[in-house]
Amino acid sequence: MVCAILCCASFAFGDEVEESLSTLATEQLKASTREMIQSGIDTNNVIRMTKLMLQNQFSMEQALRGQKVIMNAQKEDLPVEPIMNKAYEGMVKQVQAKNIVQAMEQVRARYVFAHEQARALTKERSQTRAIGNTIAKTFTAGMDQKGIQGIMDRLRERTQQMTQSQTMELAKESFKTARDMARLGLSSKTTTNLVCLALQKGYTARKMENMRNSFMTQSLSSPLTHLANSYSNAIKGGKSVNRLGYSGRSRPDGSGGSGRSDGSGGSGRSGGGKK
Amino acid sequence: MKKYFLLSILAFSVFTGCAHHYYRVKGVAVELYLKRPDAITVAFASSLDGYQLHQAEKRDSSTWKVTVPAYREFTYFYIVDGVLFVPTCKFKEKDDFGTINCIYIPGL
Repeated sequence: MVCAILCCASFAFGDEVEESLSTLATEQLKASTREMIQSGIDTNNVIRMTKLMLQNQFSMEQALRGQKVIMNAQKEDLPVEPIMNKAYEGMVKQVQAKNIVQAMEQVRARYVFAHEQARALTKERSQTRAIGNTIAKTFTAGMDQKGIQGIMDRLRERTQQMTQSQTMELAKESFKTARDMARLGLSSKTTTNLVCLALQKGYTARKMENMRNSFMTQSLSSPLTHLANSYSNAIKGGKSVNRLGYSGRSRPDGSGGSGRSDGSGGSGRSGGGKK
Repeated sequence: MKKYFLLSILAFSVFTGCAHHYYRVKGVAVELYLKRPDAITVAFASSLDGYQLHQAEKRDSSTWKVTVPAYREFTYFYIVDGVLFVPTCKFKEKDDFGTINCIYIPGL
């Protein structure tokens, strides 16, 4: 019975892959495409990505390598969406195929590292995935490995006497804070120092969250490095998070609703350079 | 409440006075505006749908608009006349290709 179902499923994948890639792909690439689908990756996404790679002048070898990166991530229980998105992003930006495959591998490596860090905090799968993904986004935002490991070391010290749920809450809020500060453009070193200082001063998950919200709101109206210094001094001095920071103007409620991204903008790479 | 609303409007006006890129949240959607008077075509791509290109709508002689769901964060950029364009934005991240992407974060 199971064999029959697997055979039917295999034929179904085969039909879809054959139909979509018949004239474009080699037998080896079609087989790899079927393998991806059988491993549980969404069929439409697999076919879309493979077709786009071939339309964007990937060689068969490069397409196979791209697929391999995704299958490795799937086997390692890592999310495949960020890696597939990197491929799509590179193709829209008309980046050379070899650089797209390299970037896909970089994304996977970030998630491998992030999930390793997460497993040091919890063995529970859903928690590992949640905190691992947050760490990976922190990494993507510009934090370096040294900074992430610095925060991990401080977290391990702080959470020795905590319950598992308290540990996870504090880790989540700490890495979200680091992620958002890095996304604002704060250096990895300054971000690490601020988050580690807060952990050292006994900040709880709620206090860390409040500090992040306050920092985000004040960053709209204060120079970033000045604000970071001000927060650092305030945390060292044991000031309440409500009174932290630079005494510039701030948004009334910090709730968002409209935003700006002023300045003249910058152009990136032009359309050329395809392989 | 009314005071906060008026202050928000004032803040928005100040913030967007000479902006080249800004957004407005309207219910479950966010409208992103880009000022590029020189552009002939503007397309928008984001992580919401695997970076599929969406043509922006021209609102006036200089402003282009796209509307996308606002319920979760996403990274994005524009393709202006066939060339990658990343506006200056508050939240950003490196893109692994030597440039950056903007990030939209709900509520910020």
